[in-house]
Amino acid sequence: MSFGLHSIRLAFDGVPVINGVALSAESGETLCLLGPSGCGKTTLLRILAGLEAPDAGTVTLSDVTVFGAGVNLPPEKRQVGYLFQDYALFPHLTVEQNIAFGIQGTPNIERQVADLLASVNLSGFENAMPSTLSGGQQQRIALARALARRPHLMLLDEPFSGLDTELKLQLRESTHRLLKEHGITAVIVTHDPEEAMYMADRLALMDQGGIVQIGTPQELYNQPVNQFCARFLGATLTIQGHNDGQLIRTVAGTFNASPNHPIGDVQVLVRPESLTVRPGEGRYEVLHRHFVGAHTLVDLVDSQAQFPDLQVLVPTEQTQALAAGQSVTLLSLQEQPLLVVA
Amino acid sequence: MKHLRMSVYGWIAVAIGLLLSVPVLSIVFSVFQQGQGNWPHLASTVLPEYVHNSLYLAVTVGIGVTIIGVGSAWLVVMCQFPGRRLFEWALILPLAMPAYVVAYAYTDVFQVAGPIQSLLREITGWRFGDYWFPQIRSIGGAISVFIMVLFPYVYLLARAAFLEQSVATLEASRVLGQSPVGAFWKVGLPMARPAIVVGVTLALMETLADFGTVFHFGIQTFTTGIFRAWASMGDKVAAAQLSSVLLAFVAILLVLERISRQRAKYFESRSRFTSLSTYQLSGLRRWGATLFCAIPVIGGFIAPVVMLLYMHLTAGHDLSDSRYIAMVGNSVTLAAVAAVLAVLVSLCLAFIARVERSPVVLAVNKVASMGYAIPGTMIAVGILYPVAYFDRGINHLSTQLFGQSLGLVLTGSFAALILAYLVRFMAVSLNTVTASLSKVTPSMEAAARTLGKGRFQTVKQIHGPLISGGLLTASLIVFVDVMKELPATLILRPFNFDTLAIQAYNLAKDERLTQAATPSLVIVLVGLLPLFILSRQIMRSRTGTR
Repeated sequence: MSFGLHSIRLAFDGVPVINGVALSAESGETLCLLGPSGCGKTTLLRILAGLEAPDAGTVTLSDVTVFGAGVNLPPEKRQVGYLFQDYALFPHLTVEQNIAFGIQGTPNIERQVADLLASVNLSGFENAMPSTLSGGQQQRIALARALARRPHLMLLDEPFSGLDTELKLQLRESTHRLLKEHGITAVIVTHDPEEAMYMADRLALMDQGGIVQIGTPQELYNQPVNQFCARFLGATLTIQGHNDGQLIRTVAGTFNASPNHPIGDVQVLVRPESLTVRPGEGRYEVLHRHFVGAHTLVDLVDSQAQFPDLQVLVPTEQTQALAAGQSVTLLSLQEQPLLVVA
Repeated sequence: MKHLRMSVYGWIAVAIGLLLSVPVLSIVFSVFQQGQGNWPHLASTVLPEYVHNSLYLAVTVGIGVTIIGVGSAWLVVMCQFPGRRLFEWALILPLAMPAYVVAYAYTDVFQVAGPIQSLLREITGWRFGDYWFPQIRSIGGAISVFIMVLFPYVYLLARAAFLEQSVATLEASRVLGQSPVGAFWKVGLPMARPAIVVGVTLALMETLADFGTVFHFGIQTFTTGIFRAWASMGDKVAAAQLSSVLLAFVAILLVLERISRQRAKYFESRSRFTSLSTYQLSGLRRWGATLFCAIPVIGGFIAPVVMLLYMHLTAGHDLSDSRYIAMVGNSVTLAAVAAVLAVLVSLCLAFIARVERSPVVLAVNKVASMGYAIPGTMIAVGILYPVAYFDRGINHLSTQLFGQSLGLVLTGSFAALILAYLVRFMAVSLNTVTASLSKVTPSMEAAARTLGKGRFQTVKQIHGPLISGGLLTASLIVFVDVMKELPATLILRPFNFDTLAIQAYNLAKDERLTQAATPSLVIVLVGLLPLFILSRQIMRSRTGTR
């Protein structure tokens, strides 16, 4: 099911929470809303579900207006699934009763519940009470409960927060597969950029009630529109440079300049993995190496004590020659800078 | 823009809050009123004595309940000694005893003609006057009764505070060089102090609120003074003005309690830790601990109950007598009506506070739950005198309109009495209902809605089952509190309307203490009911122990 949000505005007690947001998705698409806490992403999800009414704007589901122009369809009539951050399982009902809650009165409930439990790998948990389940199990029950009504649009609010790392990786894979298998349009709210990029077909970065940038994960990661986006999506390094209008010269080599880059002394933002170091007479000196697996983090200090310290990410097999005290040259692997700011 | 303007519901909450503040407001207004001229007389003669006695009671009872409450809580939480598991819940039993009932029991047994002194005379051959025996009808007697009945407030809060302290904090103090006892004085006690202060202020509120005990012992305090100003002098304004002085004391306690509650929250540990390691007491200390816990349980519960039973069996009234059946019926009806109304009003306020979340509504809920601090005598007087105004106004109006007086409409009516109960017991009901409602998280409501249920179905299928237990508990506690309540019932009841508490008071006033045992016993039995719930919670709150 496609959806559209148009010119959405909302304020609580006079404080604006959503400032004129427009957002839409095609049927079957997975859209991630990424942003720091308090940026309005959960509120946007609640507006889509009908749990919150905006002050202005329209909401459409499958091109039908469900909010705006005097219409406000209540949440129970919108046929959307919602996975809550705290799962919101009903503590007084068994797993079976929880899952069947939204499909009361339909035939073959037992069969449906059994199928749903099987799809989340929790067969046999029908009579368990939610409080006896682990966090990961509760998350899967909540997902099964939301899927029971066969929604065409699924809204997931921080679905994997509060789970430990390994479980998080497992669950985001199985959730992603379930959503794609059923062809369900999904909106996932998260503050974790890696999770957002993993799950999303398209990604919308939000800040202070507005959308900063929207696009594929690659676009946001590699072509951020501003420093906020560049830093939010991943680690960045800042190096000094000079832009003469054609080339930006830096200690790590030259970058291509484009017309929209500021002229003169500039700061060039790059991803740590796009820089590498070559042993030999150079501007920097290795201070320390931190082995963290496939990559090694290398601390560099400027031998002339002029530029700030840097930490670059080097594939571990290339680090034998980078002993402490070794003089090195910094080299960019790419000619396009991530971002150039004055 | 949302939430800035208050909805209809907000105004309903404000109206309920205003209604519940009528007694306090009218007492504050009474300061500016002209009574029948008794006030200057009262202020110059008896007021200093009231202040002196009430303060003296407060200080001594405060010290007593602190020692017994904190001591027993610490022993039960931190030490191993014979009977510890039993005392853990038995120490709350005195809560079932209204102080005046305990006072009646002890007076009957310890007075000159009572069994103890009679036995003493028989054995020794002394006659009255030959020997010294403690006079139970004295301020000392009242202090003892209050300490024995009210220490569980401190015990409960101190126990919870000790249990919540993280093992890590105590162990850190040990590693940093403190002995077990040193760790208690330097870390355990200071961390529990706000909770202890809350317990002590609650006990003191009850002390100041007591009427039955001090009246029976002939001690001049505010509550007896207010009662006399109303009953003997018939001066409602003077009674209200006396109340306004008491209100100052109450306000101090209330502020102290609220501040301490805030601070107690600050000291709560974030996570539940494994059980505290307990000290195995040995030798004399072992039995000393048992004795320390046994004395208050015996003195505050077992002994008075045995005495009452003995009195009832030897010379009590027949409970199946039609007069008693009527009184039980009156008590039960009053208590049930008050309980149901209190829970309904609480439900109303709690729901509105949840939906509205505006500062005004939150303030209303705070005001509505202040009555537990205000003595019943004061609430009664604070209601009596606006109600009299109202009746006079109505009668004036009807005489003008119809040439006929309506008589007393609200004075001596059940409405006034029920309002007094609501004011006094709204806090416990509102807190219980709010707590049970908070079990339904906002996302559960939202989940039910997105799963296709409308508002009504959501309330029926989610809220209903989740809060029904809390509603039952709240109504049970209010029910029992109303059964035990004496002064407000005494002042506001309809003419010749007798309840069990009134019957006990009347019999005791006529020095028929043995007979007073019968209604007292029924009150105690009913009072035990909520303790079952409380003791279950107590045992459950400590699943980590061996």
